[in-house]
Amino acid sequence: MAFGNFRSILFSGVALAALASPAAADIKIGLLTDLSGATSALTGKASQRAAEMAIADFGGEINGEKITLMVADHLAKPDVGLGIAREWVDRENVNVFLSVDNSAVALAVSDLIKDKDVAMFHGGSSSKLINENCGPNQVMMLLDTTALSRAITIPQIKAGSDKWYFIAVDYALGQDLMAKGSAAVKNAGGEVVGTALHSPQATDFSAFLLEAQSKGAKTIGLATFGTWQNAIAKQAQEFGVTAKLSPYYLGDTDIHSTGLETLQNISGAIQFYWDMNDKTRAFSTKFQEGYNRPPTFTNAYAYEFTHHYLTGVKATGSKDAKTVVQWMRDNPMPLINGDTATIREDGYTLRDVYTYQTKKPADSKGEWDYLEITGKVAAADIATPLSDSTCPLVKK
Amino acid sequence: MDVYLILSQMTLGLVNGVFYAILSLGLAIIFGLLGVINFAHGVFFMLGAFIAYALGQWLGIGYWGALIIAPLLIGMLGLVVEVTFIRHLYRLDHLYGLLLTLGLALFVEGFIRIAFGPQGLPYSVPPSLRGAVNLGYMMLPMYRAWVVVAGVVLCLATWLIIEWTPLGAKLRAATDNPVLVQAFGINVPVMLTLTYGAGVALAALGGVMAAPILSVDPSMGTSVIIVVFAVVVIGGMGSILGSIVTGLGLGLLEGLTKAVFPQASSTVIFVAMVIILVARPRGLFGKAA
Repeated sequence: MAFGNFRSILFSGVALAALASPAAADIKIGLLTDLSGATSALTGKASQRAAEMAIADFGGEINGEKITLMVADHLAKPDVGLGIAREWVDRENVNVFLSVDNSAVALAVSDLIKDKDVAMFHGGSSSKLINENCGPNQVMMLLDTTALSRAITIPQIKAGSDKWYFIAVDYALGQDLMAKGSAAVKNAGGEVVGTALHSPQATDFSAFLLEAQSKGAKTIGLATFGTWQNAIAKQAQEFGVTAKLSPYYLGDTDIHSTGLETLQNISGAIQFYWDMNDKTRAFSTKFQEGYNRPPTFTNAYAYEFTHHYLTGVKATGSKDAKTVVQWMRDNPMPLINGDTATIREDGYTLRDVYTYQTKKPADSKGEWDYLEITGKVAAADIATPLSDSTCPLVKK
Repeated sequence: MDVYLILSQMTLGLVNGVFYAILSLGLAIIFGLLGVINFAHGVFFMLGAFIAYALGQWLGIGYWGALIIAPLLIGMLGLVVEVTFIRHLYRLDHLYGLLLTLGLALFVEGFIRIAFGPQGLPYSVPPSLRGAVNLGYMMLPMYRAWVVVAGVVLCLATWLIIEWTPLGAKLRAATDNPVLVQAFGINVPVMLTLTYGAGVALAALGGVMAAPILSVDPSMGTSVIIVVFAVVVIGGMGSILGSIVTGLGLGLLEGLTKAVFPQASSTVIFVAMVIILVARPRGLFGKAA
């Protein structure tokens, strides 16, 4: 009897502890990103600042639960990223993964959380993440490679730049961007005059630039980024290449490091630019109270999705990943620039995109005044239609 | 196949070949005289470019000033590194020097990445070297033409100093038999220190020359150093003339491959390395033991 009593006390204690622990648990956001590699200047610590701003909007807690932001560096290595993700899921009970801005790491983590009560907002742009690898708790923050390719090529072909040459970094992302870009150019009535793949160790791109020039390219699509892209722009100027450069990913940070002198007269498409309107400028001013430069498009995403997620947690009174992500899909997402975005069932985020032209050095009013927004591309014109999606969640 | 295309790609290859030659020359001197496989060489190359940037940004010193100051500063840094770290390893196996310099390289590269960010810094072609030269088959930017001319002169001058001057003779003698040379009253340790300083100063000079063409970022040395080691191995470890000729030759080979089969251009040097090592394990210019 005494033993039975002891056992029931013990059990009730365990039960109490079990009840108490979720009530006391935090809302945990895990920012798994690149803090040291090629994309860290664009995203990294600055995206941490953006997520912190979203958390501060809610006063740091929702319904008495503290909101915690955890930050780690995946070093752009899937094994490292997966190790951290596993620890966060198993031991820390993280509620949502934010960023994971490397497609290889993102694909690994997305497999890990497939059947778990964890949400994920992708900072990668592999089309796989919204097709065969899609999941009910997953949302893609960036444009996928197809939409990005269309956003960059369609407006320029309309404006008469119909002969394209692509330079791509020789791994999955670059090859994917190049294939999607070539398809987009052909669909829009343009012509691809040549393509080149560069190795990740490459430092000299003059050979490709000369080839593009000799084949009469009007635009050189850069399916690459970071230091490679900077070197290409530098060498294009050195060789007096007249074709326009059109990068897939050009952050303000890239222009800052290479200089407007080298990057003038470049066109592309971007989702967020700090100097776009009064709302983005106000956000940028606030952002810079805690960081030494204006926000880039990836930082803006980190803010917008964290904010939308927390609004969902508040509205549904739940941290259940499926419930909150479903709420995020059902309700329009307010964006910093005043637009709204919609998240589809395959996880793709429909949002309008803005075309830009880099400023001439003389027109730039100072540091970080780099882009001239020239137009708008409607979200529906660039997104892959749901009817073409291979995501099993899409009802046809 | 378009002859103009091949010629122009080979000309561009020659520009890269000059960088290979300058870097492998320094490596060959250091290995030949000190027996150290200097894995930190790429980092000194990178530091040269960063100092060129810093001089321009903070002191308003342009390209020509940087061309002199950066190698001097890095050369002095090299002296310090030799005295504090490297000289303790001369009596040990080559592997120890390799590990030490590799560690130093990783440390310095990480430090620069934290200090300046991974993105790279702007550095433009000096105004006096803008424009292009018409070679008939292509327009070669003036700056690249300058790199080829200056690089080749630099390599030949270094080779002449080592092979044909009394100083070079002492250096070579000290490599063969340090004890005997010391007995003649020559201070061998000081000579080795200066050699290391001169070797890395050459790398820094290469870095300044590369700054207007390549992206000035923390990993710029690492990207090039692997190829440069292949050049040194093909040329024959420690052979001065071998590293110059091989550096230029492999640059040309790479350029030719870019014209004929671009995808192979990043591997062709290593294919050449394998073939040459199988056929001639000492390298093209290596002396028999």
